[in-house]
Amino acid sequence: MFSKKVLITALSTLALAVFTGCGGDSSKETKAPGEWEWERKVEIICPWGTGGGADTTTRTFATALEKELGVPVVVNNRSGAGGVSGIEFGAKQPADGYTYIMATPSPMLAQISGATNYDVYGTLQPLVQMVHDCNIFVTSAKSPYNNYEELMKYAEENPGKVKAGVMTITGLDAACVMSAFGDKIEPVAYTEGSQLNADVIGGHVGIACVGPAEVSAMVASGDMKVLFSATEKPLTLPGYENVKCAADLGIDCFFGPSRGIFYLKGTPEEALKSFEAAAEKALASDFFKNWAKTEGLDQRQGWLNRADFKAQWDEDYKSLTELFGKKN
Amino acid sequence: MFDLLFTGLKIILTPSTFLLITAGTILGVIFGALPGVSASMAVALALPFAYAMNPVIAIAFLVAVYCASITGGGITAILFKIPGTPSSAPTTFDGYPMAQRGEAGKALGFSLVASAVGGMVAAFAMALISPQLSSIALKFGPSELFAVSFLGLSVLSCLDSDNIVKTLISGLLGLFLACIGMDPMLGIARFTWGSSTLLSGIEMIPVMIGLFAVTEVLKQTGKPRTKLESVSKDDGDGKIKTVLPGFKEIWATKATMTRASILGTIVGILPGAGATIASFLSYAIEKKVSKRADKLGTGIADGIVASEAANNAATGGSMVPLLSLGIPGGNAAAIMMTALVIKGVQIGPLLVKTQPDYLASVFGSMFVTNIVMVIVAMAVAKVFAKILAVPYTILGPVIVMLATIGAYALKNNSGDVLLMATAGIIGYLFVKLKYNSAALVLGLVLGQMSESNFRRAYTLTNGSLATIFTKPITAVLMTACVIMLVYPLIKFALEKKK
Repeated sequence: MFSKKVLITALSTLALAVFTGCGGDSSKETKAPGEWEWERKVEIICPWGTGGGADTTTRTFATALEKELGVPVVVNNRSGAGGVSGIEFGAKQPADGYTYIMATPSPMLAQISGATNYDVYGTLQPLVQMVHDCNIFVTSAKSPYNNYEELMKYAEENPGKVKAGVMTITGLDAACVMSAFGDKIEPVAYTEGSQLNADVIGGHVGIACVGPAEVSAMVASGDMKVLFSATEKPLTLPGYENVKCAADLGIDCFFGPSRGIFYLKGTPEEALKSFEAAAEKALASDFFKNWAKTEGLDQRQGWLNRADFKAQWDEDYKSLTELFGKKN
Repeated sequence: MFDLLFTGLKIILTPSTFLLITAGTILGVIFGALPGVSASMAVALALPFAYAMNPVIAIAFLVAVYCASITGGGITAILFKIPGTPSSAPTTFDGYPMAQRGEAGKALGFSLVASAVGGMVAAFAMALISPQLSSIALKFGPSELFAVSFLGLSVLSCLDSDNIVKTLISGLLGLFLACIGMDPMLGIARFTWGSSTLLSGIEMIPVMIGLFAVTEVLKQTGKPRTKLESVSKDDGDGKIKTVLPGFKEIWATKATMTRASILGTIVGILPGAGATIASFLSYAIEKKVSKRADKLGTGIADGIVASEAANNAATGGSMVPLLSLGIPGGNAAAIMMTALVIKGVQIGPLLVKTQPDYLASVFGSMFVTNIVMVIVAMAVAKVFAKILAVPYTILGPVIVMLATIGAYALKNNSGDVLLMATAGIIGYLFVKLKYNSAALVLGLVLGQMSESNFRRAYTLTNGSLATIFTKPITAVLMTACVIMLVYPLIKFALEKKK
C-alpha cells in the first residue's frame, strides 16, 4: 500500500515536471543562448539601516527593478560599522546571481583611512550606479561672509576661527572640505545631522558641508545661506540661482555620495548583463525619475553602466587614497 | 493658541482620520512593546502606510505611532523587565519591582498616566512657544551639550549611595564600552581588535536587553522552585488587573510629574539628545531632589513617573525644532521629515507661517493620541499581563527567546545576540557582586554624547578650555555638576563627624 502511494506520487511529480517543463518552453519568448533567466527572488543587501538615504534609494530602485526582472527584489538591511558589516555579510553569500550589495564610497573610505582591515575595495565589484548626490557649503544667515571669496578673506584675517562641520571626518564631505580649503579651514566631525544643522544656524560652527536635501528647508526660510556648491555645474534647484559652483570658482572638490549596486566575484556573467540592462530601464522609469527629482537627486548623472561605474569607482579609490593617505 | 487647538481637533476628529490615529496608536503600542523595535524603527515600519495618505493626515498618523511606541516600551519594561525601547530602561528600575510585589496593574497605570501627561505638556509647549523654544535650543552648541551630558553622568555619584565606589566603577565601565568602535571625531578604530562587529560600537539595545531581561531570567532561575512560581502571580486572586491609580495617588506624584514633563520637553528639543537621555536624566534628577529619593529603585510610583513622563515629553519636544526650524530633534522625527519631503511639503519656519494645518494636525494628533493611548495601552497591557500568570519555568525561556529576537532584529546581526548574552552574564555577575547595571547603562548612553561634544567644543575653540567653560549655559550646568559630585563627599564627612 505504502509503496503504491510512493510510486503514484513519484510518477505524478515526474509527469508534472515534464508538463511544466514543456509548457514553460513553449510559452516563453525565445531566449538567445546564454541569456539569463530569473527564477527566484533577488536580494539586495543594504548595509545601512531603514529610513536613511541609502535605504530609501535602494527600496525605490528595487520597486522599479522588480517590474523589469519579473521576480521580487527584496532589500535586506544589515547595518553596522558604517556599512562594512553588511558588505562582509554579503561577501559570504553565494555568488549565484541572486545576491547584490548596495554601497557608497564610505565603506571604502573606512578601509583607506584605516578604520577597518576589511578589503572593501577588493570585495565590491561595481555593477551600476543609481544616483550621484552632491555637496554644498552652507553657513548661518548671520555670518559675515556671503560667498567663497568673502569666506576665504575672513578665514585669512581670522586664522583658526572658521571650522567646517562634516558628518564623517573620513567621509566624502570631509574630502570636499580638504580639497576646497586645504589647511585654511579644518573639518570637525558630527555624529548627528540635526546637531550639525542647529550648530550652523546657532553660529557654533562657521560652515558646513552637507547635501542640498538636508538643508532645503533652512535655506528656503533664510536661516542658512549657501556659499557655493561642490559641483561641476551650477545647481538647477529652485533657490540656488545665484549660487556659484566649484568649477566656476576654480576649485577641485567634486566628491559627492554616489550610491550603486555591486556584485561579488564569480557571479555568472549572464546574470550581470541581464541585471545591468534591467537596472538601466528601472532607473529611466518615470517612477524612479520623479522620486529622484523630489529628493533633489537629479543634479548629476545618476545612471552609470558597469564599465563607467568601475572606472569612476577606481578613480575615487585613487584620489581618496591620495587625499587621506592609505593606511590599510 | 485655541485656534490652533480647534483646527487641530477639527482635522483629527473627522471619523476616517480618527480611525487612522487609533490604528497608529495600536500599531505604536505594539511595536513599542516588542523589544528591539525602537520608536524610530516603528515610525519607519509605519511609513509605507503614510505614503498613501494626505500629507496633513500622514504626519498626524506618524506622530501617533511615535508617541504610542514610546509608551508601549514601558509595558514590557514593567512586566518582564525588558525595556521595549531604550528610553523605557529607567522604567524597569521601579516598575518591575512593583509588578513583582503584585502591583503590576498599578505600575502600568502610573506609566500610562505619566506618559499621557508628559505627552500633553510637550504638545502644549510645542503649540504655545515653539519659536521661543527653538531659539533656546540653538543656544546649545557642543560645549553646552557636553555640560548636559556631564550633568547626567555626575548623577552616577548618587545612584546607589551605599556602594559609591562600585557604582562609579560600573559607570566607568559603561564609559569605556562607549569608547569601543569608530572614533567619533577621527574615524579610526578603537578597542575593536580587528572585529567588524565591534567597529560600529557597542549597541545600546542588546546591552540593555541583556543586562535587564536576561539577567533577571538568570536570577529567577537560580531561585528555589516554590519561590519561582510565586513571582509570576499577583497576590490575591492570582489575576492581574490594570487598575488606573486614583487621583489622590497621582496627585502625590505631581512634583515628579511636573519636573519630568518639563525636563523631557527641553531635552527632546535639544539636537542630538532624545527620549533615552531624557528618561535617564529625569530619573537621575529625581534621585537627587525627590523627597522619596531613598526609596527610588525599590518600586515606587515616582520612579515610573519620572521615566515615562520624560520620555513621552521628549517625543513632543523633538517636534519643536522639526516644525519651526526644519531640524529633526531625533531619528524618528527625521523619518517623519523624509515622509513629508517626499510628499512635497517643505518643513521649516515657512511651514508654520504658510500652512499652519501641519502644526495644528501634529498638535491635535498628540492631544488625541495621548488620550486614546491610555485606553489602547490598557487593553494591550491586559493581554501582556495575562502572560505573567504563566509559570516562570515557561515564561523565562520565552523572555530569553523574545530578547534574542529583539537583539537580532535590530540590525539583522548575530553579533548583537552574542553581545546581549554577554551583557546578560555580566549583569548577573553585577547582581552577585553588588555592582550597578544602571550605572553601566548610564555611562554607555551618555558616554558618546559627552565625549564627542567635548572634543568638538575643544576643536571649535582651538583647544581653549577657558572659552568652553566660561560660556554662560555651560558654566551654570557645570557648577551644578560640581555640586552634585561634591555633595556626597560633604555628606560623608559630616556623618563621620557625628
